[in-house]
Amino acid sequence: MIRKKILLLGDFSVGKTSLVKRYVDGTFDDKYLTTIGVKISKKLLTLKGVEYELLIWDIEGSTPSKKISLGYYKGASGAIFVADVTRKETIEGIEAHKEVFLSENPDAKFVIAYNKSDKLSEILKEQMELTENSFLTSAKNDENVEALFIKLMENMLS
Amino acid sequence: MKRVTPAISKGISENKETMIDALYPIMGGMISKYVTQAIKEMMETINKKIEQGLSFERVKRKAKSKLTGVSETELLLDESKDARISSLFVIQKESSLLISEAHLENKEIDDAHMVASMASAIKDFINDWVENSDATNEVQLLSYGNATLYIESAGSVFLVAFLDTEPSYEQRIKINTFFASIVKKYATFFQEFDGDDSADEVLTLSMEMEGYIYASQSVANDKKKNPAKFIVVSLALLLLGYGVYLFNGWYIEHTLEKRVFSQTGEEIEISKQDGHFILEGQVGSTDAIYEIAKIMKRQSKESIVNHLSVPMTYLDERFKSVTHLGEGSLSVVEKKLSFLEHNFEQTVNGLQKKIVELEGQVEGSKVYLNKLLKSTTDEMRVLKEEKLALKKVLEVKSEIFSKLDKAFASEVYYNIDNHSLDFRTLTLFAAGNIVYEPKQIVKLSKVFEKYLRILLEYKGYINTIIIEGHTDTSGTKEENMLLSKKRALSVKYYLERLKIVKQYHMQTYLKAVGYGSSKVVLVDGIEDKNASRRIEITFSLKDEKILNKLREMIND
Repeated sequence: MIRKKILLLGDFSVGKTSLVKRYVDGTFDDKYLTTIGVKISKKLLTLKGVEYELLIWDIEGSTPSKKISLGYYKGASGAIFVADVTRKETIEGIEAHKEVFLSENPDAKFVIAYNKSDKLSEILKEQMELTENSFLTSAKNDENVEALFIKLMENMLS
Repeated sequence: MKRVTPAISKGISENKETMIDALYPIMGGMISKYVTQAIKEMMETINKKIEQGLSFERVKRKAKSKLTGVSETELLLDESKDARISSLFVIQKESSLLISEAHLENKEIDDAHMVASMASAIKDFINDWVENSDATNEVQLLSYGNATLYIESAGSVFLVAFLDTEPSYEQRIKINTFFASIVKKYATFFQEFDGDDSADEVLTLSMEMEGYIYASQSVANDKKKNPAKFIVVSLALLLLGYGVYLFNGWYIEHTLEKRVFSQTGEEIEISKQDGHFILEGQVGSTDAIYEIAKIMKRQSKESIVNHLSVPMTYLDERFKSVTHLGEGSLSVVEKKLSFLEHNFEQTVNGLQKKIVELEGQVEGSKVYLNKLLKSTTDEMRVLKEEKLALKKVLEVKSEIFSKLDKAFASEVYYNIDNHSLDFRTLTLFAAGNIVYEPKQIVKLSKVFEKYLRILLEYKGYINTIIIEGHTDTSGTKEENMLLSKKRALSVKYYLERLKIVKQYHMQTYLKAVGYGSSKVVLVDGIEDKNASRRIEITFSLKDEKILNKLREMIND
């Protein structure tokens, strides 16, 4: 079994926790997130016959009064940046998260989740400019959640 | 102190983690220089504890100190050595990935990798807070309820020891010394670890840590006081004291009875109650009663309750002889009669007391018999319940055997006689080796998966799935015992990682047992060494212990 640490980063209320909730195989209680600013879950994946276990660090967004330990960012092989597709400022905020993450893990890989896609009309969805590493996701409708994690894993192995 | 040369200084700043890995084993040894100071501080803490403590434990410690002559400080020191290690984790510092783990049997931690990550996160969180508080130390102890995590960092990894209480300074030094030894041995592996736990080092490190846990366990066991032993000794002392008291009473009574007999020829019974001597029995004459009373007064200051009596024939004869003495002697006779009347009353009183006493004893016996009857009824009920449970277990057992026999009818690795998996024809280990052949272990795991699927249908009844390790007769008994245990453990670690095992949370059901060369395979009376180096897998049911007990009872 090969294990990798990955981070889930994004502003408040973008749906990070909901995104992993229906996807994981085991998790700690939510109280840890509010106490120490991180919640750890795990997900088993099999790619090309090899078993992987992702240890997912769901990191709380930092505020001026509550700084998040940089230790949480260290040693991660990948990250998922999450934004709320209905809130522009959260999409713009991804750059800041990316900067901190890559400064600690320059060789790490990442994907982007534009979450809450269930709130967008089909027309707006069509207008979104997506790359191969960005996805419109919906925890509510279970849209692209699995694909998001698999893409990240593939990037990490490439 | 000499200045660090610029080249070394540059080397350290550029490869900090690598340098620490290399230096930690040396620095670990240097810690001993500071032990004297640490012990001094510890003694001060203990003395303070002695002065301030006001608890039952303290009173107990004081009493123990008085009884044994051992100082309270030494007793406190002894108490502070009892932390037991139940698990050890080695975690890569940067990624927080668990590199290797080891546990006491039955103390395995579910989701160890998530626990390791969470422990790292908590450690980082506290360290950040400590740094903000202008302190310089790293967090070393985390306590929650009865659990304590002792954390020691070195270079690219940190060690987490799960203990039942805070470790003493002495124990911390021991753990650090052990940690230093593994950092030295696995430094390169730790730095290059990429999350792949199939590396041989993961297994060998786990075994080393398990060995250390068990070794430290036996030390803790030696030091741990046995409360049952303490109670038994206390009870024995109490009984001894009571025995001495009874013997002393018996000895005095017996001596007085002998003295009375030697001086008067009368055999009477003397007993002591509520500080009085009770005299009982029949003597030949009233003179004897007076004489006995005199002897008693000479021998003891205790008061006497005289229940002695004389035969009515004696009184009759005495009366007749007194009548003959004439009218003048009548008053003397009257006095004598009055005395005898008094004596008779005392005898009657004594008998009444005896009757009351006997009635009390009968009542006590009735209560005891009622209790006995109740407990017998309870036992009968429990036996009936156990009988029903065992009947079910027997049915389940025979059902499992039947399914296994059917499923493995053509399986070469199945032993139909004891319904176990026997891999004697699978050369899993080379002679003297604990590392299994990769291709062979895959074969073993496939057969095991099929076996496990049948057992999973009865998961609620399964107690353990036992992985037995066996060796050939080469080497000493002790070496073979260790080798077989290590072989069983290496197979256990492999099987624990199977998807089906994790999916059904069967890790804690797997137990590794080493039999050494005690059960070798013989072919025509000659040992088949390849077959002897084997793994067998079997299982036990939860209520089998009760079943065995019942069988013993029936045999008895």
